Amino acid sequence: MLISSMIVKTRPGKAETVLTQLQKIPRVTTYGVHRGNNIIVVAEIHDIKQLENLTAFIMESIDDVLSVSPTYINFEDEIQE
Amino acid sequence: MDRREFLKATAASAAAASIGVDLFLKPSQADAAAGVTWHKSVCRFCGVGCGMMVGVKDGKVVSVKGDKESTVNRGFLCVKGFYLYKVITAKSRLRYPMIRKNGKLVRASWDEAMDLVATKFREVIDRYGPDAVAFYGSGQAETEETYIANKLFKGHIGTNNFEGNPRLCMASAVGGYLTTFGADEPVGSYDDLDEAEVFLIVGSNTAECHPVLFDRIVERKTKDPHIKIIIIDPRKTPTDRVADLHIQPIPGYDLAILHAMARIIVKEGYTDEQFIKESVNFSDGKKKISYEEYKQFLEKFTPEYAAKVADVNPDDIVKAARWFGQSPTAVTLWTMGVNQRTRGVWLNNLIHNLHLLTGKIGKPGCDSLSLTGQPNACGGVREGGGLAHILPGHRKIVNPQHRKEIAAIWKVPVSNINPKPGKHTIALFEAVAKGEIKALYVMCTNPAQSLPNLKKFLKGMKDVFLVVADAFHPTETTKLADVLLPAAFWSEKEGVYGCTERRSQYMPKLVEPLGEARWDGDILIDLARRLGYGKNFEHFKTPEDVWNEYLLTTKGRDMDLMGAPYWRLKKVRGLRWPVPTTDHPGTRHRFTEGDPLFPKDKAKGRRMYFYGKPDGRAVVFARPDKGPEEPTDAEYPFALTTGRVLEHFHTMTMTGTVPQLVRAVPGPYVEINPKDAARLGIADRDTVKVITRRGELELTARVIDRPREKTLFVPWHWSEKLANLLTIDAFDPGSKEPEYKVCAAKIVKV
Repeated sequence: MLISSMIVKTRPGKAETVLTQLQKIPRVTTYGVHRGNNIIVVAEIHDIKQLENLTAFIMESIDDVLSVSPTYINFEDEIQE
Repeated sequence: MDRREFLKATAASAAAASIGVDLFLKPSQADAAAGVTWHKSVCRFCGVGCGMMVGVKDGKVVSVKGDKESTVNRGFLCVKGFYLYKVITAKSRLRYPMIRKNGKLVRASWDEAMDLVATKFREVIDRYGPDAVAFYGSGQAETEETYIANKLFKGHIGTNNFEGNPRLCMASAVGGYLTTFGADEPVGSYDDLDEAEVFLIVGSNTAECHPVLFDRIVERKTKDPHIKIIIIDPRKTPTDRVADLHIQPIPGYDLAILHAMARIIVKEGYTDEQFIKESVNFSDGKKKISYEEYKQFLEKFTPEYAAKVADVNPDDIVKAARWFGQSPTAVTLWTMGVNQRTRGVWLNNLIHNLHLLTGKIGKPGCDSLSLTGQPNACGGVREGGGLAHILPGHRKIVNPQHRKEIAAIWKVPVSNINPKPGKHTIALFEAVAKGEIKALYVMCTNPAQSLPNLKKFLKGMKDVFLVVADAFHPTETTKLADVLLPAAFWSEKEGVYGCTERRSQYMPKLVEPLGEARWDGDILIDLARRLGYGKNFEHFKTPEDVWNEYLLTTKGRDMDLMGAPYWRLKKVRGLRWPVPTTDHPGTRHRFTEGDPLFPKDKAKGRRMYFYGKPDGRAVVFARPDKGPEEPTDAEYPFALTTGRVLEHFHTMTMTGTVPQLVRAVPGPYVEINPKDAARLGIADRDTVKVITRRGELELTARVIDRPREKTLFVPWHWSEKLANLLTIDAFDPGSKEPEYKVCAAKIVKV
């Protein structure tokens, strides 16, 4: 299992709506809206491709998302495997 | 808190830190608890130069996070950067040397492989002369690696047949900077992105190809919605998400648009007349012309004329020019859509024209900033002299004084350096194809996939004695090799990368190279020794020794890095040259008061003095508008354009874990506009054939409103469907960069 975090930036005034959408995605945990329009998101994923797909999904399928910026990944489990 | 929750809290805290928020754990607490030690490094993927923190535990890289202290990315990364850990231990890593025996690549010892390389190279050099061998390097290699190769091939073997893949992606930007400003590389830096009020993005899918910089633009736009973002690109991309205006020209016909913008800027009085008077010359490319003659030249480029040429709305051109002209600040960004053209240098000039006419250069929020695609194309190749016509420290081979200076540092007779430039990339591979070049050393790149009009070159690459030093196998190039040399990869070696904004950054060695892999520098020094040139390389015991010698080549040059030794680079988040002394902070804007090389005595009160030009004046060019080398016609009615997309578009494998993310995205595909698709009876996911005069590819149709009508777009990533079998190898006469971005094509349903 890989653990990754990212900042999802939304259009002004749309963060709460986007937050609700993000909370519907399995294995995604949100940590609130910060500094106006930044949502902290942590994803538990099986492999890096899932992370790519997740970021693509958020960018392309959730309205009012301006950018998705990954910040951290831990892949210790995968290395051990 | 169990381990999983702990890791999640650590991840969330890292994200929080990137936006200046404290959440749960302080990073130091998390690190101590996890047993991870963090090391400052740099991402290896693109030219942005993102600072990256690499987490090591028990001798292995186990985690990665954005470096929040980095002024480049401030803690953010893009998904590509997250791939690095996977790449280090990838199954496709080349773990030991291989040599071709009876047509097959088989495992060999280092001694056997290096003996073979040295013997063959010596044989070819002695029998056919030094120009019968060649080197082809990379903007992904470290500066130290390119420097050693340069010294070996140009200074000892005596050939300038020394090229690198930046020729294929940014040579036109070099040509543009040199002709306009008299010196390569940008005037400004990323800092200007945070203060610009207009962004003009030309031929660049910034959102997908440089997402971290795109995020800075998004941040700017979010803070101030009045900021305008103008895009000129034949294809809609995710960058449009923040655009206020998108001008979609026919591929290859955008020069007229930039001239038309300049005409409006002049006509409506948005020029900075004082700046023009003090710091600008005008030229038609052959001779100096007057400002009035330039104005006359522009008369032809009415918005209506440009709109007709490019098939766009004239009102959009007027709007773009007014936004640019009226704004106090503006930054223009571009990449391959501008550079990979037979008139790439001219197009670069025309972008710079807008900034020079309005004086929007060399001050906060203003720059014409060429984005680069590779992490060290600027550092190792442009600055390090890794092309056939240049020498380290922004020197030219044809300049006798420059050869003399470098020969002295290399401790070789100046006669060792051939005064004639070597073959540029296309000419070099043509010489390989003709059998004129008989031995080729390829380092850290994959020309058998990336060259245009590939069919023309593949046989030659198969026939030549081909040595490939790479971290991976198989690639399209390693498949053709006679000798494969396993190279250490990111985090397995130390060195310096120089990114888009003139920033040099240090990368540490954190883990041991996989298998028998060695540092490329070590391999090259070994080769030098076996060829009999060991004496001038034996003092290179570490990469730092190489860097220290390289620094001498920068002393007193426009890209002075004497203030950036390893000990300092290890402490700071990179330094932007010129940085002549170890107490100098680096330079945000060149050619201005803050630049340590700014000649106040010559400037005499001028705001800018372009010291690369004899009179300190930059040049506004009256370049003719010219279309692509291969325009569309009745037989080939589509303009084919190629490019990168974010990794996810071609690796869409999904598991059921996140079911709503499952999307059936095809493998190799061609994008076609829905109107064209309807006309041709092509449905989404149909199999189609894309045909050019050079080849054809069977691909899956992706019917999507991204390319404009009569335009096809093919990403070039897939080795099983090589887009470059279709592209044209015509090149810019100045930069010698091929026109990957436009050729004529047709598409048929299979």
